[in-house]
Order: sequence, then C-alpha cells, then structure tokens
Amino acid sequence: MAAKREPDLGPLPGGHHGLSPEQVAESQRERLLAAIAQVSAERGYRAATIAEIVKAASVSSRAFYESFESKEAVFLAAFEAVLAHLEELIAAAVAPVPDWPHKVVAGLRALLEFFAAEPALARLVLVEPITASPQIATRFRAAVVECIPYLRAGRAERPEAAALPDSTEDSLLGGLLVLTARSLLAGDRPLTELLPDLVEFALSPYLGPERAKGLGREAAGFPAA
Amino acid sequence: METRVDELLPRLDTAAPWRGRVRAALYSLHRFLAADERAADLLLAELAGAAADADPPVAERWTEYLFDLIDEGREEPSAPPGLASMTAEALGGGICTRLYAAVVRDGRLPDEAEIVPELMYCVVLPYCGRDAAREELEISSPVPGALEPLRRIRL
Repeated sequence: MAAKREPDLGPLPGGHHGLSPEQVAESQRERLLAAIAQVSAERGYRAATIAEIVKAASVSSRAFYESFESKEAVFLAAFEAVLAHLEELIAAAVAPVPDWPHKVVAGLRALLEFFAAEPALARLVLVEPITASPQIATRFRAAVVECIPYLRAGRAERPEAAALPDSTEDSLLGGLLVLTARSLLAGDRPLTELLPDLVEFALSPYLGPERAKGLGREAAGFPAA
Repeated sequence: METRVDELLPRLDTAAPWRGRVRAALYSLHRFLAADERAADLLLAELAGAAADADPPVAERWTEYLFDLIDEGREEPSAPPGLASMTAEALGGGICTRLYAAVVRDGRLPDEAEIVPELMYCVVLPYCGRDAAREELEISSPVPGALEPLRRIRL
C-alpha cells in the first residue's frame, strides 16, 4: 500500500524565487486543487468557501480567480485530476492480469489501496459529487457510466450471464460505490478490508455465487476453495 | 420527517413473503419519490450515503430500513450459506444510486414498471438464484395499497 501523502500547501517563498510566471501559476493551481480536496474533506463541498480554499492553498483570492472562475470549477478540475490518476492506476494494475475476473480483483484492489492512502481524495471522488452541484453530479454520473463496459465484459464468462438485465452493471457499480463511501465515512476499519466483499458482490452475477465467493477469499489471501 | 418515517415502517405486512415485501417497498419508495421532486433529491442523496450535511438520523433510519429488509433475504431457504450482510448494503446502495442517477441524468425517475422489476432482479438474484430473479422481470404490476401510508409522508 502506498504511504499516506500529506499535501504540501505551503506558500512559495517570497521575493526573487527564480520561478517563471508560468511556474508560479502552475504551482498555485496545484495547491488550489489540493486545497479543495482538503477543505471539502473537512467541511463538505457545500459548506466550503473560496476564502477557506485560498487560505488552505496559501494563495491570494486574485490568484484563485486567475486559475478558476468558481468553487465548482476548482472542484471539477480536482475531480478530473483524480480520475485521470485512477485510470492510470487501474490500467497498470490490470495490464499484467490475463483473465477478466482477476482483472476486476486487481482493479478493485488498486482503487481501495489508493482510497485508503488518500482519504481526502477518496471523499472528493466518492462522497461529495453526489450532493455538490448538478454539474458535478452529472460529471460523477458520466464517470460511473464510463466504468460499465469493464464490468459488462463479464457477460462473456458464462452463457447465463449474457441474459442479465441491461441495468445490472449500473446497480453493481452503485452498490460498490455506496459500500466504499459508507465505509470511508464510518472510518471504522481499513478500506482495503472491503476487498473480499466487493469482489464477491461484483463477480457473483457473472460467475455464480460460489466462484465469486472463492475469488473473494482468494483476494483476501485465503485459499479460494 | 423522522416521526413520519416511523409511520411508514410498520405498515408493510411483516407476515408476507420476503420477495413480496421488498417489491412492495420498492414500488412504494418509487411512487413516493416520484410524487415529490424535492423529496427524491434529498432522500436519494441521503440514502446513497453521500449527504455529509444531511440530517443523519433520517438518513440512517431509511438506510437501516431498506438494508434490513433486503438482508432478510439471507433467511430464504434458497439463500447460499455464508452470504455476507454487506450484500444487502451493497444492493440497497445500488438501488438508491440507480434512482438518483436517473434523476441526475433525466431530471426524473424512470417509469416504475421499467425500473422496479430490474431492481428486484438484482435484489433477488443473490438470495434466491437466477430463476427466481427472472420471475421478477415478469411481475410488473404495482402493489395496490402499499402506496397509501407513503402518501402521508411529506418532507
């Protein structure tokens, strides 16, 4: 598991720091992205203010508006950045895995390890978007829809799976998201401990309950049978 | 709202078969949410476990109700041994997020005859198996009377 990384939100040194205006702007933008995650995790997106965000980022309000037009805009930018990182993580995790069921296990493991190491970012992508604003909720929904084909590939695993209702993947993804979000909010155990249950839940419609349970046990480090 | 939720919960026939009670609850929930746009927005966000600034007792009571009802599926004779209680939480969460997603995407809930049988398929599958789940796709009639207690609830 990756070590927990605290965002470095300290201000740039004053005076002649030798950075170009473009480098300064990029640094400020990155600190604002980290700050929206930090403030949203502490106060919730809707309660967070731009004053709190610029304070956490150690930038001026003017610098904020030079990079983003609104709180919603900085949130969406942070959301997109985390999604892009997750796509890379999952792609790297599943690439060496030969079969679909174990790709699902590898992808879920990569996600949970990231969320466990970065709880503020986990909250930013899992919890806040649903109630943040209509535009953010719509983007969140689009991100979920983008995941559907990865699960739908499981319909080729067995003839029975080909007859699953069209909405199966949507419901499964909703369940996976809610389980992870609720566990994140509860904070009563490491998120990575969810892996066997998530694996069993996600794979059961495609592989049948027994094989899915076995893969869940295998994901937890126990013999599959 | 909390006391009105209390009014709702005991009114479903606890002696009825589990599948029938879940089906009645889902039709009732759908009709309640469809009748009040604001209620749908609030409740579905709460049920999805995502409203950090929502009223926690109300959200908790609704989620407990739905998850407990689904979890009773483990007592069905056909339920595989060792099925985790987390299955119910995932299924309930999946239902809520699907309904919420439809509101986000289309601005309204999908037609009950379209979505409830598919939701029931997903709920029944892990507890009762594929044949029972497929039966749910053919049961499209709403449950008369189950709606009535919910009509009185206003957020």
